[in-house]
Amino acid sequence: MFQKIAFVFVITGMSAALIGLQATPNPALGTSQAHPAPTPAWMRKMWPNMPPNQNPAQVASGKALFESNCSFCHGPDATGGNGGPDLIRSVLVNHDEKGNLIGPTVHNGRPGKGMPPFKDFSDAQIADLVAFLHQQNRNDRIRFSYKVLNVAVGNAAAGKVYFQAHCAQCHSATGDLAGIAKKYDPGALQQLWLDPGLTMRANDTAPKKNVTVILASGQKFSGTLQHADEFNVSLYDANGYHSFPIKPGMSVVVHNPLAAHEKLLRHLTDTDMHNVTTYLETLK
Amino acid sequence: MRFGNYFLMLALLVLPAAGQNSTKALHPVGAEWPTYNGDYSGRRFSSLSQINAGNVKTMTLAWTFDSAGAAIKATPLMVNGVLYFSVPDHAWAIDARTGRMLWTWSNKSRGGTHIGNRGMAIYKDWLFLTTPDDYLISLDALTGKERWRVVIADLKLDFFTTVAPVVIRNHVLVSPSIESTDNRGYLDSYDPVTGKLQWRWYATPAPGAPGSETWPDSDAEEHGGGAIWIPGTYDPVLNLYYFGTGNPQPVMAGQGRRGANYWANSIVALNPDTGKMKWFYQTTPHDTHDWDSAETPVLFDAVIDGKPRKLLAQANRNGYYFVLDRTNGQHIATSEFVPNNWAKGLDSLGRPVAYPSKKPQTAGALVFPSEGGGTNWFPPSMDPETGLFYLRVTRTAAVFYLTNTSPKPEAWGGIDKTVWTGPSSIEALHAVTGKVAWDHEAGIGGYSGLLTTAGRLLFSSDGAGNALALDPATGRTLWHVNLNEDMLNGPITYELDGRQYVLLAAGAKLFAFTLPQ
Repeated sequence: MFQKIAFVFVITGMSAALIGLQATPNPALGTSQAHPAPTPAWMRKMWPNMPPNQNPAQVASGKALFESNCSFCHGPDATGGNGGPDLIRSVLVNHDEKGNLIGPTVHNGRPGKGMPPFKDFSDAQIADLVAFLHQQNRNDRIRFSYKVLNVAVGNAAAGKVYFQAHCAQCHSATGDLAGIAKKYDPGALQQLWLDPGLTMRANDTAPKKNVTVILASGQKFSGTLQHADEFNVSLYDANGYHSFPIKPGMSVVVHNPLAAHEKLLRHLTDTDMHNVTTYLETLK
Repeated sequence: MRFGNYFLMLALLVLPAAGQNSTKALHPVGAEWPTYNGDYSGRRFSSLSQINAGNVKTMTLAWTFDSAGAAIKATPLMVNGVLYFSVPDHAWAIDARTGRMLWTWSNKSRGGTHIGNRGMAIYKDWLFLTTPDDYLISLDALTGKERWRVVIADLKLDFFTTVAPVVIRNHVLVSPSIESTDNRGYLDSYDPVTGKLQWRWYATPAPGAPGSETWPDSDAEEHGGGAIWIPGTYDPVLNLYYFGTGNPQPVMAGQGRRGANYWANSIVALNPDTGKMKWFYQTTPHDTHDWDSAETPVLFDAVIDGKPRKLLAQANRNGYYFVLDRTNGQHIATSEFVPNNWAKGLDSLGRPVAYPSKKPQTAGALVFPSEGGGTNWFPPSMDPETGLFYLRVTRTAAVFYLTNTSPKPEAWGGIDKTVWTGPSSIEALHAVTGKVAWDHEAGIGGYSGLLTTAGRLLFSSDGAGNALALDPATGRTLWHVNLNEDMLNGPITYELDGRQYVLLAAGAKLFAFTLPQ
């Protein structure tokens, strides 16, 4: 067994006793740590060249026009079809500013490449097509706008059995979880039971971690954890705020009320995960 | 894989000293730090030992510099008594003895993702850096004035650039990053005098060329990704430049690109004079988790079963550590360094074999690690005296959702949602086998690079804002200071006037430590 240097404390649950996730996404690790979804301001700062959201009415009209006139060659999603190239990856479409390149191409076609001219499109119709294409481009590229598809694909009865075995110690379908499926859409509900801390921290309803510190002298302090790292542990108790340097002979035990959820992840199969979500979806 | 007998030897690079900054990178890093990794090996092991395990507890602050800008992710250069470092769109030259600013330079940005900038390169008296809006720019090192700038990628196709250039002789090597749009990744070589493009190596095959059999059609491979995110390493005897390629595109939806998808997620060896690939080793065939294989390929030599071998090791984002023969890419060892559940085992080439069920699924697949991986871009270090490879390990799990089920998805085509972030570690692996030697928990956040020295020290940081010096043999903490900000760059060390400095970046500030006079 290799030498493991964990901090002096004994921790219940897998998470170290540290402050929670950052509120804003950490691009250094990819934005998968970003929940709730990033704000529009953050997205504008992160991706300044993304086409902005287009006028929804224009996008809708443009989509209809595209379906009737363009989708045969370019595909219904503009990702390419019968001979027509993918317009989402297209250099021209990505360089287009408010139709300056798309407009003439639609009007004149591409005679050498088999695209006919569409001379009858009005300026307004061109603008609608442009809006549709830029919105498609944006929607495809910003993954935070992607919609999670159907997650309730498991067996509710099997999910209930799993729930009784692993969750019923703390939770009740008729008690604290009554009607839970009415409060969250299925994708959010699945994320919630896998990692309740994330959603709860966003709502500021997350239970705080508790810590018990026993100094080398034997003096004991118990309270709400404020911070712990290799060198320091601090807490609030009935008497106020306490901060201690970590020293040999000290014990620091952190209790994470959500530890049971983390433990589940180690052995959770995807089948069980889908079953439990499907069961929870029945709690309306 | 078991080895009879092995020991490590420092790669001996016996070359004539020269005045040009580019050849300084050929020698194991010592008094100066002339390139991204200190020297071309990628070991980030300094020969300096004035600051050592015996006196590190007395280390004191020499100076600080506040750039008052974005968090510094660049590894600074130190050449001729001057430090050079950058953040997106900005660069500074400061006096390495005092921290006083000599000049600063800015770029008026046209956009691009401003995630970070890994640093600069120096050749003669010229500096080179990249910008988020896809310029390669050369500055006069003395004045900070621009000499030339060239566009290296199409900003409108979502390319952006963060990489630190690497100079090898008269080649300035740079590569853009891919954000979302399905592009072909590539590595460019530019002339340092004029900025003219010398060659371009694409990370995916041209239609019909060898390797195309791992893609379903030419459209897929011409948009197949493989961005080269991180500077590479170089063996001057073999004349090979080593680097990793990123994930294939579309990122998480693979149904439109069935096949292994060469040469995405690969360690590549290439001739820097011609831009021709010599060999490659793919670490995650047909990746659908965004596990770029871009991490630093560290070069070291060892004796295995009585034979001297020239090796390359990479701690990969997919949670596996790979050791290859760097002359020909032959596989030597693969080991795991984080909990992972996505692979059922290794194939005959030592590559992890993915469970099909752990690809992104519409109802979600629970995967250890998350998209961020078991490690990421943070520079690792290898200490030839301990024989250990050091990295910052991140521990995560996420549910990967396939959101686009069409036959031809675009961009990401899926998304992962993290469900667990455990404590990270500074971890030491036996360099030849990958077996874990020690693990030092380091909290969440502050994922900085590592530095080892001949003074028997390992410098890094933790998620609570502590700068750390550890014993590289055991991981025991020997020194720390709480800078109360995430350290996000690679620490360096240098020596001037017979005085050794250790330089860390915390947030937008630089901190230089030294022994008391």
